[in-house]
Amino acid sequence: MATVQSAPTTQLQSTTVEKRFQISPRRAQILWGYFFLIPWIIGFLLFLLGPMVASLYLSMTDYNIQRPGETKFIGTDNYEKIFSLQVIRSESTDVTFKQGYSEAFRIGPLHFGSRDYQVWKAIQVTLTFAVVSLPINLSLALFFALLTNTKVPGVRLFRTIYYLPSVIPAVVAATVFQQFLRGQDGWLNVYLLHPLGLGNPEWLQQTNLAIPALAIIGTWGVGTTMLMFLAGLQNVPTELYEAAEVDGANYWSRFRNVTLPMISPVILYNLVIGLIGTFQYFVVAYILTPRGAGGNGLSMYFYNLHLYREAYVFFEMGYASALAWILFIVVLIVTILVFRSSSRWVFYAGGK
Amino acid sequence: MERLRGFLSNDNVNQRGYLKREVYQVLGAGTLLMIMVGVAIVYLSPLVYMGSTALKTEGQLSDPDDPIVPMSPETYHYVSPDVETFRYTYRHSQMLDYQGQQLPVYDVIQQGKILKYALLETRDNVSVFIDSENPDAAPIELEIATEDLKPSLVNERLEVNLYNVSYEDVKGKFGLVEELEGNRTLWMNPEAVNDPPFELPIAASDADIARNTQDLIMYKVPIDGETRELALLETGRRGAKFLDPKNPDAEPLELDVRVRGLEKVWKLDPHPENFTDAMDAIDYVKLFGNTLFIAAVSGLGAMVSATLVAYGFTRFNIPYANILFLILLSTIVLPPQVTQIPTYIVYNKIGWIGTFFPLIVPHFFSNAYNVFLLRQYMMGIPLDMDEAARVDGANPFQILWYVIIPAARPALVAVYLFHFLFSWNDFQQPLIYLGGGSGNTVLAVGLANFTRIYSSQQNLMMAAGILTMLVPLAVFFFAQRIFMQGVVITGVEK
Repeated sequence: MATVQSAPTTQLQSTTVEKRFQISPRRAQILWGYFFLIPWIIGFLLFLLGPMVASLYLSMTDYNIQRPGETKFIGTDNYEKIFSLQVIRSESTDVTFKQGYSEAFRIGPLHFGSRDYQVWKAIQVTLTFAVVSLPINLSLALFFALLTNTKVPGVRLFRTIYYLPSVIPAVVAATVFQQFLRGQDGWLNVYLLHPLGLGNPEWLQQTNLAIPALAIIGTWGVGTTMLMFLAGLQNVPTELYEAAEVDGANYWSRFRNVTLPMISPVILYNLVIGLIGTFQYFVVAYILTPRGAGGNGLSMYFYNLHLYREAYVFFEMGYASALAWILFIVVLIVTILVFRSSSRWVFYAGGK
Repeated sequence: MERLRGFLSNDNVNQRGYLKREVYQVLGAGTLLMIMVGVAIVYLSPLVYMGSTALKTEGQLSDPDDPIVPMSPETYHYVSPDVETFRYTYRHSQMLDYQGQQLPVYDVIQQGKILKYALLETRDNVSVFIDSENPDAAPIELEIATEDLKPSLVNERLEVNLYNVSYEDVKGKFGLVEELEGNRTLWMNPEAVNDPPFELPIAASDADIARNTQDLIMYKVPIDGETRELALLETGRRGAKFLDPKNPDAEPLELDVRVRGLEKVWKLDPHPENFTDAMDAIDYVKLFGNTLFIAAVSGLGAMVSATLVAYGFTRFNIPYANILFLILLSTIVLPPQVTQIPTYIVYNKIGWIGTFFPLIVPHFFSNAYNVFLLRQYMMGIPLDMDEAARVDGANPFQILWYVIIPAARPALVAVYLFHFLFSWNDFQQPLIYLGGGSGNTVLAVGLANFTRIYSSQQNLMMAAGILTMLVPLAVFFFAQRIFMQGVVITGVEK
């Protein structure tokens, strides 16, 4: 009997064993799913999270890749250096600051000294550029999108032409505009400003024209933003325009009351992407001011140039990490602020 | 009647309104077209500038009159009736003709004076001289070693007519010094004026006399209401002398015109050799190969990894998929500068700085933009097909390979092309990882270097720029639709 009974027992045992190792289809699904995420998970840990933590730690040291042995933990000193500011009120141009401080900028009789006077200039240049360039680019892109959203013959060709500069390498664009914006024989002056009686400004030499010059160069690359707007415009239901027309709305009021609200999510999106891009502006300024030196009077000295030079020219990687973290935090705050404000001006058709 | 009139007038109004609308539409379309053309011209002008500059010489660039299309002034090769002469100073040792004998003249210093004595003969350590200024006087004997004597040099100012000589292997433009007896001639070389003249057994008439030639600039000259193309011979105080190339033997025309106000005759004169010069200058073939390799391989990595990850996100019900996806998307906000510094330190430790690895390897671990694009696309592929495949016993890899990839091909191509272009155009990363100097780098960095070093050679710079953007432009033109749609899906051009 025992032998007769033993057979089913072993069979039963073997099924439980199998069950333990056989994975249910649901769990297999999950495992397969995670399996396919492996490249991203590894990449995230290896190239994002890990370096982020390392960067945060580095930002609290005085690490220099040329003398790693002398690295000290210095706490928040790098951050203090970025924001260090000493104000002296004096009518004279010659002011003595604390040791290690030099003049960053002055407003009237107020002299502002800092341990890193260049970072203040870089912040000023970057913010000015954002304020000047972003509204121009966004409105120009929207204008081009409106133009090419019409039923004029050949409109697709024009779309292609306006988008074309966006595929050109930034280095090439910078090289062309270096000559295109020259004072005496640059085409902008020769064919546009000079005939209009506006003279021959030296766009890239005069400190007060540096930001406008970069903004002009920036307008050459609005193609991507234009395409985004175009997609937004094409998604606006035609019924809305027809209804507005029946109500007797003219073009401007249709634009103001139908188009703008309907594409406001796209505006928000382009604004955020544009801001992030501006804070990381690099290539054109690097080319136009040989090796990223910043140009006359540091007029093109962008934050990212400063970061690059600290990290890869002077190899002050601890300090550069602190600069990078400040950049990250600013980008984050600005993005959050823009999104927060968006509930007031962005219209979501879904009623969200 | 009343009603009819009302009807008619009403209709009239309608018709007028309709016409008005029609006119407005046509006018509006016309204005739009004009604005679009205007913007297009402005947008294309930097490219036109590149093309124009790349095909010109530095001379053409510095001429403000040179049109956009590379041109040069037409010239007329003018052979003047004047014989070409050559003036030179012939410096040679002096000789004295003394009773049919040629004696070398030496500078002999006697009592602080330099005397020009011709050496007649040397006996033991006594030299016998003839005073070259007074050859009839008796010979002078002096105890001077001949080694200490310096030959007396004279400078002779000469002018010779130039001939194009060709005799056996003696070929070139030489000056005729003297015609000797018996069809022999004495010549000098204008490129080596102090060499002694050489003799050739030819007569002067056997050589071609050289005439002055000049490339005269052609102008459009209005004469008696018609415009003639004439070559400017010389500008006088009043008016100028012109030659008519169609009638070269005629006397020059003296015209009372201001040359500055005349238009030159231009001819097309492009210089495509600038491109080969630029290629040599930036080591184009090597940099092109490097750039292509990096873009192609890292593009493959980007496409494959994004496909796997997007597949994982869309086709498997994994817990927390939404949160993971949100984390993935939020990495877009993180500036690359934050992670770049620690990774640079690691790359430096493992010897990757100066190699292509940092530009390729990270792309095999997917990035947010590509995963986003592919996820959007894969979500649109109906699930029925994978279900059918699964029922047939296909494993997830087979489903990916036989169902998803064929269906998502356009999106995959878009991801590949985007990445390819991003990689080709990228500047900051190659600059950091391969260094800013020339050497084993990519085109963008090579061009930046070239721009800095050869900033005066605009033509080569623009040629190099065109060579750098050739591939991105080609990719764009061949895959325009994929491109412009892909931009909208990802939302961002990377």
